[in-house]
Amino acid sequence: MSDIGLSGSIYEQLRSYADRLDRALIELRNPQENIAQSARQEIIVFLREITNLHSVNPATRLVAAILKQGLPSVTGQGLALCSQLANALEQRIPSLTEMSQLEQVARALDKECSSTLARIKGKR
Amino acid sequence: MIEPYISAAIRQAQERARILKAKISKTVSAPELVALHQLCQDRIDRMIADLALLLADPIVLRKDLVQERIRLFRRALVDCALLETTAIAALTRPHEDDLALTRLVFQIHKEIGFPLPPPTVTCLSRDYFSINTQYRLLEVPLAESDFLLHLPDLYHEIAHLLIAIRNNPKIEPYQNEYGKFLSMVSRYFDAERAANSRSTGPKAYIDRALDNLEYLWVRGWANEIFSDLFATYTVGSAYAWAHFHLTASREVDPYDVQPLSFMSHPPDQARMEAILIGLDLIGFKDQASSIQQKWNALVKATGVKPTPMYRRACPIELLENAAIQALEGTKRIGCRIAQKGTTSLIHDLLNKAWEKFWAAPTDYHGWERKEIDGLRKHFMCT
Repeated sequence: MSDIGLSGSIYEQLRSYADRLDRALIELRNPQENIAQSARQEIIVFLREITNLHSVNPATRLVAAILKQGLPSVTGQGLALCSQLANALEQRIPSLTEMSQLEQVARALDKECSSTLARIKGKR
Repeated sequence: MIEPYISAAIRQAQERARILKAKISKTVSAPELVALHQLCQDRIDRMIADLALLLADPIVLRKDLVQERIRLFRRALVDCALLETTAIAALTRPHEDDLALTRLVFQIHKEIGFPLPPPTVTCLSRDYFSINTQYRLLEVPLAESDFLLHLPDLYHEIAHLLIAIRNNPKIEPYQNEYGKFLSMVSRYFDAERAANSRSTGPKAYIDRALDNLEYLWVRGWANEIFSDLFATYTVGSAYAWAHFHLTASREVDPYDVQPLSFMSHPPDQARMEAILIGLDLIGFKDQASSIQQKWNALVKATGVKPTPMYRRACPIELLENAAIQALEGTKRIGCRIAQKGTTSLIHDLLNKAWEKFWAAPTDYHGWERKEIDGLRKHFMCT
């Protein structure tokens, strides 16, 4: 497959994860407690999924490979940070620091979506 | 401050989506396009609904969520642009070559027992063969329907669907084998990193290189090699020759690995090694040996040589494991594995094309022309 085709397929996988996290981050701020709680659960599932070293889901493994390196504040330790965030969210509502770290995860995915899109458009 | 602009831009995007829908709201010119047409309509409806949410949901409109709103909006715009330039372009500019190739791919689908609906083909590709897995749209260059030697790549392209399509139990065994292979890749690079930490070389550089190589394998290399192997297993040696043909026509060093740079595809040498291992596994040892000889001659003629980084990036153990897992996956989803004695219309034609090409290169073009004309008549009359 050409670079454009491969990047298109990767973009599709990435954007579904990126959208999923962004939507959950929106709902996490919902004043209705049940909606926010359900979003918190969704983010925990998301984080557990990408930190599952035994996962055979190709899309999950791709996202894990990106986050492993792609979180600027913890280069190389991205998955450890995701794991810590999942643990924290299981205990309580996220603090401001944790919210900022979740934003960092969302931005890392968005950045990868953008660079993949640039390849689809033929920009290197 | 910026919110009114975002809201106006979202309304513009909704209007663009509606206009796209109007452009395809005509009678579909052939039954082969109905599925693509329906998929486009559904995607546009979903886009409009998603954009409406970004416009009206009171939570989304909160100032502290502007970053999320912009990210979601931009991705919706990308969806719209990709749909417009691929699937809708194919629907609004249908050509009889598209139909002939769509029918040919349908024939391949039947011959090999492909477990997913076959894709629609368009001859609007601007960059060799590729498949848009989201729209199940296989794109090939304009003149490709007039030649046979590259057509084994169609088998490679449809294999990408087996990895991209989610939540289909029928293809999960293939995806599980692929997932197992990705785990193997990660274990290989973990072991390499551990070995590097004990070494006396440039540790930081090698660590960065290993991280990048692991990312490249997981991002696309494994996907490409699995698709090469699927094509090898289902059409046989014609696919190896098609890879030979493609490599010969490109100005790329087949051993080239830039350890700290981005490479969408694995080196061509690694792809050929995996393909030959695959051919051997399904009983085409003699053909593999003959292809190997010609490949070596091709590589020698280009004057390139393997580098130490090549073998570090593409170890033989990973290529062998890919061949084993891909074969297992292909068998477990019930696809026909090409063997000596396998016979069917497209399988036979594509393998025979390569036999003819090597046996009498100067006469080949006339033979190919005749076969293409016959094939076109067959597909356009059925």
